[in-house]
Amino acid sequence: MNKRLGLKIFSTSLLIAGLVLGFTLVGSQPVYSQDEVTFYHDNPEWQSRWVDLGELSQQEIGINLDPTEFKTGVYKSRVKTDLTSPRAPEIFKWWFGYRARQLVEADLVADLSDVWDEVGEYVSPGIKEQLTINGVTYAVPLHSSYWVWYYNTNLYEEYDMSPPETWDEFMDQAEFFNEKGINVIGNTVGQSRWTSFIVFQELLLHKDHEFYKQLMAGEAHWTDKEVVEVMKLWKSLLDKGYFAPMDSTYVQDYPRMFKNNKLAFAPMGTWYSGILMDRGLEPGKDFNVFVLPALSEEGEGALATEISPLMVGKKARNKDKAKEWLKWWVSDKDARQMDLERWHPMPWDTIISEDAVAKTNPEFAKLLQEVDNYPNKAIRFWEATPTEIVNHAVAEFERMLTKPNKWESVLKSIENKAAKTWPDYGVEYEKQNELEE
Amino acid sequence: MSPVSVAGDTQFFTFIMNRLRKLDPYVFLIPALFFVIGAELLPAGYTIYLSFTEWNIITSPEWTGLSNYLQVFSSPQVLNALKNTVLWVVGTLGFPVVLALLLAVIINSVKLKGLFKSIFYLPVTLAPTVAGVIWKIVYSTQNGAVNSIFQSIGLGPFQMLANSSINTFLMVGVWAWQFMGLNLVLFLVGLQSLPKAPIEAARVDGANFWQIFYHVTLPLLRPITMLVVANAMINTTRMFAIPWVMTHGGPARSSETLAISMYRESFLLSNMGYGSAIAVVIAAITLIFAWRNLRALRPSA
Repeated sequence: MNKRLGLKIFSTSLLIAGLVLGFTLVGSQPVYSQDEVTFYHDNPEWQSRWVDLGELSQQEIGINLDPTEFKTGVYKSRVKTDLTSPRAPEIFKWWFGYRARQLVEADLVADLSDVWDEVGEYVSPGIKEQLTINGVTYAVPLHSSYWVWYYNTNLYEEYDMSPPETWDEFMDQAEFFNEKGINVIGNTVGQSRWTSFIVFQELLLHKDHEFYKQLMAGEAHWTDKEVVEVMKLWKSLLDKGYFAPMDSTYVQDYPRMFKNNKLAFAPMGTWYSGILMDRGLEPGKDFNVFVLPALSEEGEGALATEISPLMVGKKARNKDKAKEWLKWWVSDKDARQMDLERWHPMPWDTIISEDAVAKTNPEFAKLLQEVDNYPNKAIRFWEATPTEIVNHAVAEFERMLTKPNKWESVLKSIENKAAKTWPDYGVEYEKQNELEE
Repeated sequence: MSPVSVAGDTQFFTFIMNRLRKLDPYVFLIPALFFVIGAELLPAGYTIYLSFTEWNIITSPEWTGLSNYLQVFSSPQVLNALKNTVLWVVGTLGFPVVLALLLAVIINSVKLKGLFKSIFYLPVTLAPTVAGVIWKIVYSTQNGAVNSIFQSIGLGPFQMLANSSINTFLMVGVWAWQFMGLNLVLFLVGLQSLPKAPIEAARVDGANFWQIFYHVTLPLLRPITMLVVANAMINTTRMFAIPWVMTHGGPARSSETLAISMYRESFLLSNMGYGSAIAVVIAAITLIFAWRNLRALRPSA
């Protein structure tokens, strides 16, 4: 046999064998630790949170977390892909409302009723219902947040003001700050697109909470006069220059503007406190929160809520360990305490006393006491209506923020999308192209 | 064993080995083929298949025929993205190619060529995403350099990237800033490898600098120019990194390029079929450019 040719054939076969082996190894399942549960989330700023909590749970119940952070852009498609495979994450952070329905209908998430049977008593009333679809509970809470207006306490102290209790007071304060050259409303497009719904939600919900719910359910139209009035109001606030520069971000710029007394308000979920604190602001001292006063009688007692769920992949390998961890997450006093002190969420449990909360979260203490005064709670826009409409609407609202004079075409565009979307959800919806005046 | 049969076996064996030897080159191509087929052609084929379906990742793809393509060509968002992509391609052909050529000619006739080359080439060494992040800060109203200059003369501050009328132009400017250097170096290489004879002859005949440039240098540079142009067109048709980092294709999807639309539809909105159709369109445009430019590079009679 020709030695050269033989050598060539041999080395090529070796190369091919090596490649095949390499690809097989790359595509195979990761080395699996029985004591860890995989944990997916899309908040890189909270990776240390899961690492530290995992260490605590390792000590207490012998189960650690294997957290992986993703940027929100790739997160959704990555989770969806993995959920359909044997690589399904044990625990992952998601969104509820319409955003969870898709996963539930595709049978990709585990039923957590047994977890709730054991530890449900440690969770404040009203939360379980928000994590339930068709009678089955598919999640435990990561955050339970309310949508409030963060305000600059230093500015208020300087001008001897107190949080507005009526809409007229709010508008007067806004005009006052505007005249002083202070940015009034921190709601811009610099960070990401999703925040563009916030002011719209706040204005509509606190103007007419019944209508808001109807609009979310496809029982009202985007061109109805209630929406038209809100858009005109929103346009007037934009035209008056109340909003902070559109390219500013809520993670870097608003905290700095608060510190320099260049920003008065920032409407956000109560999870925003953690971000402000990360940037060196102190709760109660530098910032506090108020609920937007109602614009009219129909908006009284309204408050937008957001539940951020932790769910379990149905195809995940270590589902039982995942459920154990979630039971610990909900009911363990050390876990609740660590979470509260280090990451400052609004508490949803019945374990930590009100005094303890007031000490670490002075800006939430008052809110927690008052929350029962807001019986007309509603889910925030992001999850409250079908995702196709939401995704289209936030792009259109961004257009509103940067070109307020286009408000009419913004509404017509969202109405158009709603008309195409609702039939897929079994809701009859006739497009109403003309704006109601 | 009889000697005849052994001899016959050896002859047959040698015959086979001779045939196999002709396969040598193909054998060495196998690993590369493996990669190209496995990592490029098969996924490309799957994408083409997906472009005729509707798929949201969590359920199976559903055949929908040409409806994705019909949507692509009638959707205002995609048509806007197409318009932006055309702006990118045209913008990259103008300023960074023309200026690079002129600078190359000038640098070629001065001393310290190496120094100038290095200065202009430096931006090329940045990753496009890094360049995008840097210029995003420069364009920002929050202490960005551009607005600081405006404000020092009493103007502004002006929204730059959040202004949908100008943001694409601003971002094309960033890309031009980066890649002019690359084009410059390519042109310099071309200029330095030009035959001296025609240029000398023209000079002897009394032609001035610009006449020589236009009638002699440019035609001789044609292959390099075509390469630079082809490079620019193909790279900007797929433009993603810079607009993504600077505006995410916003505000309100106004600065989306085709590649961003493809990404958004596939991975953010879970319309994998629709996103695949956009991907096929991008590939088709790129292939047309590549084919045309390869044809133009063929040596003419």
